Amino acid sequence: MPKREFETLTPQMFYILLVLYKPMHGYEIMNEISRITHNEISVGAGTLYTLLPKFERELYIKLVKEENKRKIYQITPLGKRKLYKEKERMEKQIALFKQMEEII
Amino acid sequence: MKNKYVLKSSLFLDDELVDYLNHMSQKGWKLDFMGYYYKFIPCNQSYKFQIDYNEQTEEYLEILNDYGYEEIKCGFDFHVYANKNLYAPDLNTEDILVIHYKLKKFSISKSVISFVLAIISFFLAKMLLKDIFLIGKGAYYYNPNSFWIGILFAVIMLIFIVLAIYNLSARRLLKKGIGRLKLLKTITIIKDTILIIIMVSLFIYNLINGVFFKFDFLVEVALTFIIVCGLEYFLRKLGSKKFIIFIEMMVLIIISPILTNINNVFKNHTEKTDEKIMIADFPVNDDITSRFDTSYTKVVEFEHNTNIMDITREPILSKECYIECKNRETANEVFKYIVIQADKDNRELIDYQAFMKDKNRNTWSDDEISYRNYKQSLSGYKKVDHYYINENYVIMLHNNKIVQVYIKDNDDIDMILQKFVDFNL
Repeated sequence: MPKREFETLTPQMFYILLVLYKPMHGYEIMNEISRITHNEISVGAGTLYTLLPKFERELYIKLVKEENKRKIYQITPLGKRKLYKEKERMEKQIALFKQMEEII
Repeated sequence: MKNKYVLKSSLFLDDELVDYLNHMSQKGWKLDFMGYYYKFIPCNQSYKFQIDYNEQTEEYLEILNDYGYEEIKCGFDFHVYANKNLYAPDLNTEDILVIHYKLKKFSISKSVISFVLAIISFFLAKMLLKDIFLIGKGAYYYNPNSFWIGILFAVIMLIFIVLAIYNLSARRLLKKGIGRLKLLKTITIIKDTILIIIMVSLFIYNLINGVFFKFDFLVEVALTFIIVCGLEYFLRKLGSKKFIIFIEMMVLIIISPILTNINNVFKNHTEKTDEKIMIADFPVNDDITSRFDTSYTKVVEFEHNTNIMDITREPILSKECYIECKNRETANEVFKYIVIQADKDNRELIDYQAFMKDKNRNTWSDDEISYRNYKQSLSGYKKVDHYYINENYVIMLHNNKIVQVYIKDNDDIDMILQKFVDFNL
């Protein structure tokens, strides 16, 4: 288990941050993730509403406005940096995998 | 069909719990309440159950409503939802978040608080049980209540130790991940079993001894109930349930001596007046500090100002007591206890006075003076007729009665002895 909660992002965490490049509320986030992943990844409402306040505390996302009691969030520059770090980590893993494949 | 009640502990295995609830609904039993017991009501259809840890904001509840989830009453700090649609989306799809939530429940500070409370309980138990272990049954006969309250604190200490160890173990297991939750469930069952055994034993003991029907107990329960209800009423808007319970516990701990005193006021009013005749002439000057009836003794204690100042310039108080024992045999044992205790008190006072005069000694502690056995203690007294006298005390045993009086100065002795003679008559 990672020492810090968001030391590495799980796929669900990754996609939540990714779809928040566009401001949206919880319901839209869940639908958007299902859409872009062709229903391969679905985020439960419980998981999403646990993560949103945590991401907000970590300053990865910010509350943009509230509409009809629905909170609309958007990714922050810090959140984007986190996504890039995650991308680099995954690319490293893929590169290492490719190297291993060539050796075998 | 009537309702069904089940005792079950599955709080750490959400999947196992959800499977069980789903299975029960397939068998025609829908969960209606979850707490330390589960209540099931008959149902005609299957449900999909979910355990959830989220705060119920308006936005979140709206989504749950859209999904078709209804809330089931739950006595724990998580939520249980049921859905008629068996294909409704799962609420929690990330195990790691559930583990993080559960870790919060087993914080290090909880273990530290449990250990601190265990240490406090240990010292209270030690204070109350010390005389009984060091002197023997005389101390028990003198005040058996003290022994049982000491045992109660020892039990409370055990409970806090169990809770602290459990908390630390749970934390460790949760950190190791989902795979260890089965083990956590096992140790939770062991912890709950230990706690239930302790609680049931205490309840049975109190029931057998009629504690629940005693006036003191009923008055304290009534006063506690009134205070808790009052605090609940005034604090309900201030914060979370946990915060209110914490404040209530703190207030009860702080005012518990006051509760006992109020109780004594009630008790003194209800006592028979003829008991007051027994203590008519004792002590010479001071007020009663405590008065208790036990199954072996009737005791009246006084505190006497010795006019010796301690380091903080407060006067040292000396104990005097009048004791009527159940029979001669009990009186002999209590007498031994009084002799040993007064011998220690006497040596303490002498040593303290010597310390005050000795400029080479910088520190003094009553821990340095320990109890001597009965024979050694008795050798410290001079026997005059039926009275045992040392530098500070006169003790008398007559049939089943014992009196211990502090000698203020030598002039007092004749007067005290005369009172003993009157008392014997």
